[in-house]
Amino acid sequence: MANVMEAHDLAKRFGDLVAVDGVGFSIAPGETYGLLGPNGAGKTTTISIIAGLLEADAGKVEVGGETISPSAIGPKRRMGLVPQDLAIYPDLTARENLHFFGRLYGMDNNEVKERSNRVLEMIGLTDRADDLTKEYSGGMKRRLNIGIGLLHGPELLILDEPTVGVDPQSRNAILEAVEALSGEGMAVLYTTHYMEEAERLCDRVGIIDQGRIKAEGTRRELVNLVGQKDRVTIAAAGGQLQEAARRLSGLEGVEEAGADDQGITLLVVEAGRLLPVILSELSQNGISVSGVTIEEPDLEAVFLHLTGKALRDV
Amino acid sequence: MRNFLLITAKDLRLRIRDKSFFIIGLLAPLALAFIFNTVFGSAFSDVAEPQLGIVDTESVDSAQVLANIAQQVGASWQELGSKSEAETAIEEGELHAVFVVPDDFDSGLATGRIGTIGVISGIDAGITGDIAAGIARGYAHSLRQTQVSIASAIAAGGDPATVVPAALASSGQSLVSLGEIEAEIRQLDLNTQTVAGMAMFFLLFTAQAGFLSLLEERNGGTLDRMLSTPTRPASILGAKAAVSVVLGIVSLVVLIIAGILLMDAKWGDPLGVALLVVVGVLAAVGIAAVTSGFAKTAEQAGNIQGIVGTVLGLLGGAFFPIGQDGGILARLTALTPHYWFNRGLSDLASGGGVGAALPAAGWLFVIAAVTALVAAFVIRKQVSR
Amino acid sequence: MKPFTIAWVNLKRLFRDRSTYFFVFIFPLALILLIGLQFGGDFLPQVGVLATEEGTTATEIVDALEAEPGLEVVPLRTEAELVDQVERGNLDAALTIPAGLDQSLAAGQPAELGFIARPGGTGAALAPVVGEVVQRSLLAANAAAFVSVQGLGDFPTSVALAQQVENGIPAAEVTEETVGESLFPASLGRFDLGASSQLILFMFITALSGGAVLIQTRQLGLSRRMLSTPTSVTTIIGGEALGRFAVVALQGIYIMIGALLIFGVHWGDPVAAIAIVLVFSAVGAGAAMVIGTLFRNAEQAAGVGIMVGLGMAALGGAMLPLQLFSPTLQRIAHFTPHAWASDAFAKIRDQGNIIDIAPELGVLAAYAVVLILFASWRLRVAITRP
Repeated sequence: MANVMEAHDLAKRFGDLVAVDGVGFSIAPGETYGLLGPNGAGKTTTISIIAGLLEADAGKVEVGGETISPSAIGPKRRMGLVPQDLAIYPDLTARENLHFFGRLYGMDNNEVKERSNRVLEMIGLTDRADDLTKEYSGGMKRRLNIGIGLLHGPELLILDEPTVGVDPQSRNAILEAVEALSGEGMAVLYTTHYMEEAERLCDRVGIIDQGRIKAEGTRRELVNLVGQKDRVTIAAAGGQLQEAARRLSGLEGVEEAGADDQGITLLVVEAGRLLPVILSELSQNGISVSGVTIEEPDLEAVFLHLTGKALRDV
Repeated sequence: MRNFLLITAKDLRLRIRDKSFFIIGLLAPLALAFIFNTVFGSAFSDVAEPQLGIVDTESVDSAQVLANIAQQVGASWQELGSKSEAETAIEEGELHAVFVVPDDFDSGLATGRIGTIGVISGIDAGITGDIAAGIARGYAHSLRQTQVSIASAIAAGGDPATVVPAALASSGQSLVSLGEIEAEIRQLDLNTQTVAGMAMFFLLFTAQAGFLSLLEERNGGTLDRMLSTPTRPASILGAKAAVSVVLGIVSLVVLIIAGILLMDAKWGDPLGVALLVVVGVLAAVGIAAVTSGFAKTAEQAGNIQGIVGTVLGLLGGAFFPIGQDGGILARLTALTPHYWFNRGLSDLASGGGVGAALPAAGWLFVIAAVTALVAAFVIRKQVSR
Repeated sequence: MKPFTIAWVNLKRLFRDRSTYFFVFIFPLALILLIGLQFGGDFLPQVGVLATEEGTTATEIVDALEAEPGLEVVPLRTEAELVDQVERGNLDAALTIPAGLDQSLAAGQPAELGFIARPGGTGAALAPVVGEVVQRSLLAANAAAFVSVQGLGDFPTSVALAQQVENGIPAAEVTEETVGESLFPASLGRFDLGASSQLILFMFITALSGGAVLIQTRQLGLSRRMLSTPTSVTTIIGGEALGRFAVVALQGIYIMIGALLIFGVHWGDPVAAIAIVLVFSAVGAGAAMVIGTLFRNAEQAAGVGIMVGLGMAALGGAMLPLQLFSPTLQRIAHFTPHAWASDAFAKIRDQGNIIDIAPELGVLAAYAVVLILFASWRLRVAITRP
């Protein structure tokens, strides 16, 4: 079947800043595509271009075979956007919010009413549908924010970091909803910097950093890029973490080493054998270790491998 | 078009839900117009009708002449028993000025002895005091004129027996007469003027509603969401302007009607007033669009408009009239919509039809067109990223 | 010290907004200037004069009008302008002097001058004043006309004769005296009244705009956050009010000094003047807190602030001097703090000192206390039950 969305060689710069630099990927019906990358990697810019909010400097986006641009009104009907920040009217009720945007998508009155009821049920807001949304809790607002995007049954649902700042319960509800929609055949474009979300939801993942897609594929394909390496996360404090990471990367068997505020992350060929060496090296450098975890390879490891940076909090 | 209407309807609903429109668009201008009318009306109501009087005198001829002149200028007239009675009446504010003609004034005239006419006025009588003095001097002059005429005629060889009666008979005649022409009144009465001034002053803030909400939506993310739907940016901008126009017109219409019912305002030809309302609102919306176009947040836009609206209101005479003496202020005032709105209404006040309001309406339209043009450039960036 | 911390943060937030500088510092002085130019000095009726031809008689009439103390002459160039200005109320009346007036008079022919005024207006009442001035310039001509009508000589010769005769015949003297005490002392400077009015008006409006700030603070959840620290509602209100008080007092003293230096405004005893500013600032701060606690939406509060600020200023004599109010209205005016502050300023302008204005200061202080207590109670309700 033809792809729902195809993006080719997208580029966008803001002044001197190159936000997106030759990004291209496609999404098939029923497929969930994850765009995984740290904050500032170009995810939101890419999504804005695909959603027709931003004109690309170069490249082309097609949705359902129609070219997208800010002035192309027609094809926008095929998409639903869930912006990263809340985009709802606090002085309207949930139902009124849904109704308004539903009508903007061209649905008629009855259709909007019927679909609104279904969506309200799906996002669990039926009971509070006629309350002003400024009275809602943060999680309820988030759910409505998503509900609006899928009200008109788009072929492609674009979710821009929908779980940022959401409590674990609402977060789980959101992920379940996305899985359900995907199961119904909706194509989903999902950006996140949470590795677990990408692993759980996405059929394919594009790893994006500094405006480029560094690698793309299913989770298995991506992990294979790294090889059978373990990821060692050392929670540590004191001393020069960056400097220690640099030294550790010189050890035999250590493939990659990166540091952040909370500690050091390493890709290691045989973690069990190398761990004592690593720990003694750290204590010699005056770094006190408060915890060690060893994980089998995952997307976080892939990211570290591809960019030399830890995904979290970059 | 459909989405334009949907957005307009949604925004109007939001503006009604948020009650600030009722305060800024209706309550504040009405309350202030009422207070201004009460305060200013109490101070300026009696300027036009001088209240004059005369201390009882035996010079009945002179007293009669003075009374006649007073009547001609529309003054009220009263006789008082004594000078002290007159002074009390003036101090208590019952009279503006009183004439004192000596008992022997008239008899002195016959014998060529020239007396003195006194004018007593309240210290703050101002123009009414001047009018009273003018009346007295005018009478004194006419007496002198007669005497000079007689003296000249006698000097030219005339016989006093014929000349004197002739001169007395032609007293008050002059080669040059003052032809009094009544001007039309193309000026609003105080009540109407304050309602109009306050309505226009607050209109500049009401007219900003749509553009403030645009900035709020831009920063709140709902603008992006609208742009991701099949909606043209022009529809969004148009809807925002439409909201301002609708609220502006509602505000003016309600204030005009309330002005009639509550403050006895007089507005002239309805069609002309309607025309002025529409172009006045367009001009205000244009100005609000420009000021909002330069802002990044709604708060900033509100602050800029606060300055622009206040300065324009002041220059435009929304609070007190700005003199038309050809100075720099007189020129600046013509740049404000307030001035032209007031002027258009004034042109209608004298009973003119729509045509009378056309020049002012034309200038308001020019303000609207110029600001709309500027706004089109500065505000467009707000609906794109 | 906590109230000072809250006050300081408030001040910093306020002055981060550039428009604050305009409204607090630039605008009031600009308005004092504008009002001084428009209304300061004498309020004379304006009479436009159009002399189509600058003949001897015309010049004489215009000079005589200009010498008249009770009116101001505005020369105009076209009849259309003249009519327009009278109709629109920019001029009270206007006089047109036709061309060829000298020739008509020389030939003993009658002529007519036009006097234009709106019916029922001040201008119409000016007719006798203007008429008297015109006729005075025609004394000799009228006498000569009489002589020639009597067949006693031709007009030009008679004019010369009349001019000689008239010197020996004075007019009846008109003496003018005034009674009563003037509402405004003669020493009142052009900007004096406007300056104290604008001072009161602006201080109060600046104060009330603080109501919106208090609401924003509440909306941002800052008040709740402050309450979560060991800080009492009274301290918060005190701090917010203190911040507002500081701005208003600063503005008041700034306007005072600015008007003194730029316009030479006479304020009176400086200690007493500053006392009025400080107590009135406290009233304003209290009123701001009340508005800030009565409304839930900053825009509403801003609208109400402007309305109350301008309305109370008008009612309290900060737009039109209280002396011009009717007695009833004067009593109503004294429900506003503005009227008391106005009275106090009038007293110190008239040599009063701080003891003389003690009653006014006492009333203002009572206003401040009541408003702040009310606001504290309201804020406690508002914060604890959002």
